[in-house]
Amino acid sequence: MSRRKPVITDKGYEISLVEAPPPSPPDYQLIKSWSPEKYPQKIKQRPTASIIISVIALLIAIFSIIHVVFPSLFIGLTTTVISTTTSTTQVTIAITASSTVTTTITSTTTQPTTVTSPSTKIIYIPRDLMHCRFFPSLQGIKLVNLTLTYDKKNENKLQLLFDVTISSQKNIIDKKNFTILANGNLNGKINTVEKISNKYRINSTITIPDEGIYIIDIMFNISENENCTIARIHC
Amino acid sequence: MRWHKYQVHSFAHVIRGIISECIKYLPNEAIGFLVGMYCRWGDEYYTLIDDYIPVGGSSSQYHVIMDVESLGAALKILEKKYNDSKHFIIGWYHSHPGYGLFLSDTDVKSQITFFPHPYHVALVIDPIRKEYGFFKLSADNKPIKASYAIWRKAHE
Repeated sequence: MSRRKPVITDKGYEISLVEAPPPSPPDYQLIKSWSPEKYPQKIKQRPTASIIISVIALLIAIFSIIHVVFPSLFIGLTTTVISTTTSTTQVTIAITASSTVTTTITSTTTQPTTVTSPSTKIIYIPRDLMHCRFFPSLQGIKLVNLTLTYDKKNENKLQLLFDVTISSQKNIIDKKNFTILANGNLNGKINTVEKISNKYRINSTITIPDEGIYIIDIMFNISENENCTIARIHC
Repeated sequence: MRWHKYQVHSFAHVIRGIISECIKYLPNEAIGFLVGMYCRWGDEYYTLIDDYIPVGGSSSQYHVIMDVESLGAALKILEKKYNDSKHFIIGWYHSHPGYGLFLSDTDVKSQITFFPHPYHVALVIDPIRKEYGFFKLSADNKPIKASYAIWRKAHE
């Protein structure tokens, strides 16, 4: 069965609307498709029992905190209740802390930067710092200095040493906040993240399999799901 | 007006060709036009892309600009190859080497200026991550992902 011959049905001002069926089996084979329906936003509904348990756990946790702070208020309660809720209390506090960390990352400065390279490779730093411009809260991340060196034992091992200025209310910038990626799929290793004065010094290595053009992205991870490229090296 | 479940239909050889063009220009961005038809079948509308025209210009890793000569040459190719009044430039493609699928502010401005109609599409290719996606403008000129289907002839 072949597709019907297209017929022009409407000659408009800009274009012609063509009356024709879309490609379909058996004449055509679907190779790839995407539609929002294929990836529906699933909202997980928590069972009522789970909510009730959470609320009870929360109340017990609050009571246990109050008990620790104001023990005299709990003279009438049994010690069993308090001891069984200790772990719940800790979990609750941890979650709160984590959420605070995510939302308090802010940045200050706006200008990119100086680059030094002891190697012969060419380094490009984008002036507009790539994706960070799409994350308003991170527009100001400043890559202060970037040094690229080779591991002499193995020419395929690149060592990247760079400084980043990121202001944050808490010192929560660590290894997890950075990702080094070559050609979009080769992961580098973040060795150390060290805070020196107002900047973070990141020491990392990446092993590239062979000679060729590599695009190495230095990414800042805002959260588990969001990151932005703060610099790109072409070598 | 009702859109087909897949707003954009295209063919594997077209997408392959465009990706090859984008790889050729690495690490820089590549740009070109999408050629196709605006179609209706029953009460459903869709955009069919069955060809592309690469356009030269100046590019870097982070931007690409079409030059006037290349634009003129592309239009001549279109006129010569498709003198059927059905095919026209139905959108554009460009690559984002290694930085994912989205329309930047500049891309959205280009889309609004040159491809503002609902049947117009923008194809963004990331040849490094080996991903691609189609975009359109919403009624309030925001970029939205367009559903698509890529086909190949059976028994090809």
